[in-house]
Amino acid sequence: MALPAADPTPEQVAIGRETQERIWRAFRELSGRQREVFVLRQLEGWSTEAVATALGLREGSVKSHLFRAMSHLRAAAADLP
Amino acid sequence: MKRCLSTKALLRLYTRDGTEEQRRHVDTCGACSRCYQRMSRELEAVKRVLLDTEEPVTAVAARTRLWVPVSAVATALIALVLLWSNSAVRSPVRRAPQPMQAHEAAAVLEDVSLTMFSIEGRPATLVQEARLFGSPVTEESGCEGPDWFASAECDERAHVDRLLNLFEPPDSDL
Repeated sequence: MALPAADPTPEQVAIGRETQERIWRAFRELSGRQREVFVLRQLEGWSTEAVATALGLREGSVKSHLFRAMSHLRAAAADLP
Repeated sequence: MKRCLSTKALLRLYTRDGTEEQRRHVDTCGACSRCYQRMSRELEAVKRVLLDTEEPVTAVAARTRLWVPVSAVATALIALVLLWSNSAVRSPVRRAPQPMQAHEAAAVLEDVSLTMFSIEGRPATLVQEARLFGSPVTEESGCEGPDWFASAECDERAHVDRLLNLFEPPDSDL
């Protein structure tokens, strides 16, 4: 069984502090709805239907918010090796 | 599907909202495969950062954190100044007493003198006037009783004796 490493992973080291700050800044720049949809759908792993039900949106709106959020966040991590 | 997929379509594939046909295209198209891999790497990095790292303190937040105690201290100072000025306005200004004028001092001293040196409740000046203008001293009064003090006709020696008698203890059997 592999023990969790105390040190940062190579991927975390590779990301770098500047990129991390850029990603966090981009996350803060999202609208409230985009942030909710991104967190529930991508970080929490909810389905599109569940997110739509929880937030009272149509599935198409959930996909639209998610697409905008991911495009914005992806741009912040664009300089990864 | 011959044409390469759009970014939106690739994102849908990443979120598992794409079609099976799009998935097959990405598996067979080198360009779309590279785009998809790059997008996946970037979005995984975003998730890793958001899940595994603490939100850095921004300059704005740091400034806000600095300004909170500064503003609290400034507010307290302003409140103190307001309280002080309010109490200073309400309390009467204590001025140094004005020096007494010469005529006022003379009047006060005269009052004091009259009070201290009154004779039987009468101002000594009246007695003096009585002396100066020859107020008659009755035979009955003579030097007996308090009237002797105002009488100019009493014998001076008797005058002194009577004064001395005032301070001698009364005769006793001891």
